[in-house]
Amino acid sequence: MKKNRELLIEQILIDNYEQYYKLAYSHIHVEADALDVVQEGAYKAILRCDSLKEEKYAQTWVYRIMLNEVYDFLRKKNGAERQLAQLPDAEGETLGIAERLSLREAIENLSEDERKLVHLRFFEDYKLEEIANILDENLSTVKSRLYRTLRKLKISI
Amino acid sequence: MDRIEELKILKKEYEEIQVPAGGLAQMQAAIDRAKSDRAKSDRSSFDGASKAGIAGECKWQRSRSKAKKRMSPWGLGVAAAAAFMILLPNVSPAAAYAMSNVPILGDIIDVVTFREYHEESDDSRYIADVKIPQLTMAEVGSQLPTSQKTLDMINGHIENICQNLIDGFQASMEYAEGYESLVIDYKVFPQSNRLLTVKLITYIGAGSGVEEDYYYSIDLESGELIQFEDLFEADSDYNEKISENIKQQMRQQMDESDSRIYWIDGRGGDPSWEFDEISQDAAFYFNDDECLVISFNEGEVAPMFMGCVEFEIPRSVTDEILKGVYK
Repeated sequence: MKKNRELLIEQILIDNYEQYYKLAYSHIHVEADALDVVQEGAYKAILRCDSLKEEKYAQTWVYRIMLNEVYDFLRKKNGAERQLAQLPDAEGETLGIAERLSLREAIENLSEDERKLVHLRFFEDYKLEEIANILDENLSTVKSRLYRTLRKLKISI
Repeated sequence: MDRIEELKILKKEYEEIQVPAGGLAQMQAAIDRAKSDRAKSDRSSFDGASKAGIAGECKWQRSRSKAKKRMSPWGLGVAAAAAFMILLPNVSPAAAYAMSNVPILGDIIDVVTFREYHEESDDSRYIADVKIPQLTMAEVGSQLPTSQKTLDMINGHIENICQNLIDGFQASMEYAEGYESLVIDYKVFPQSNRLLTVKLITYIGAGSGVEEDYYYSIDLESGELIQFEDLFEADSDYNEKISENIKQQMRQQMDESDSRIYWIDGRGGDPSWEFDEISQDAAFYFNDDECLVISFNEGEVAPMFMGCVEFEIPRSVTDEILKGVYK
């Protein structure tokens, strides 16, 4: 039983590796750190796999661990004295970097909760119910918070 | 551009993020490690021995009592996030060097492992693997007047650095909130042109790893510690020549690969981060080809993820500026 649980989580980790890495990299922008964070998330997921209550939520559960790991990292990094340099983005030049940065900056300046919502809704394309699951919030909270966040970003859908 | 367009672009960029080739294998290693740690904790709970405390094995060849506490800059700050993978090839520079008791040129100076310190917490979250070198005079026939003083000074310096790192490691282990690895090792460079160079390698892994290296060079004839500037003829413009050559190499590397970044030509963001010219006490050694190599620690001339970076300076540049005895 115990072994099965381990294997289930391992399979989920492997199947969704790309998603986790993208999640990490899109927040952290440094390859080595993004790799580390995903590894750490994977380590914790396996180590604590007994605390998963229902197997049908396994995927959501793993994703939540990764998400927390990413935000933990950001919090610590921002608190540290030594900041990593921001990497210039090669693609940016052709696409009008100034304008585009403004939405990116706006997103990076959101509160953690708001930024998670934007990420889950627009980058991962999760449905609101799924988002509520991942964040462990109720649906109406998620809805109203997302609506407020979008107004903040001046995005009208 | 309207916000919806912007969002589409960001999204596209997000989708195009490339996953590094070795990434999955690294995660697999983390998974395997977690499995074995889980198996271990199962066993120890049968023993009734899985108290949260850390009962690491701690072996000192000589005991130390001086305890200047210094938190390692990354230990608790940047983080405890994810250090357990430190020995992967892309992160760990240190594991490759293993050396002790290397006889040096005519047995004038020996470099030996003076102390070893290994420690691993029960849950393997804290691992230290430390080898501290010491430079000693070989017993006979080596009466360099100043050497003993130089050696004492270097040994003192090395010991101080190592002690601080170990103290920092032990402090965060007591704190026990994350993961940290400490590796200290050393390397002795091949003999050439009258110099003995010892490199002390320190590596702290916590979140992302940071390597910091120290170089000590002794002139085997005078017994003096040699600084970078001592290598050159006084009236040569060595500083500019070498700095220019390094910048050239940096530019070339950046042209060849997008993943190389150096803080020159405005890339440093803040002007004070820019590499302008090499300092008088730059780290150096001579490699197997007897070429001068300049080494920079992480974050000195490039973003941290670049690690420690080195530049071999071609003979054509150094020939006209090096002092005769070091050529």
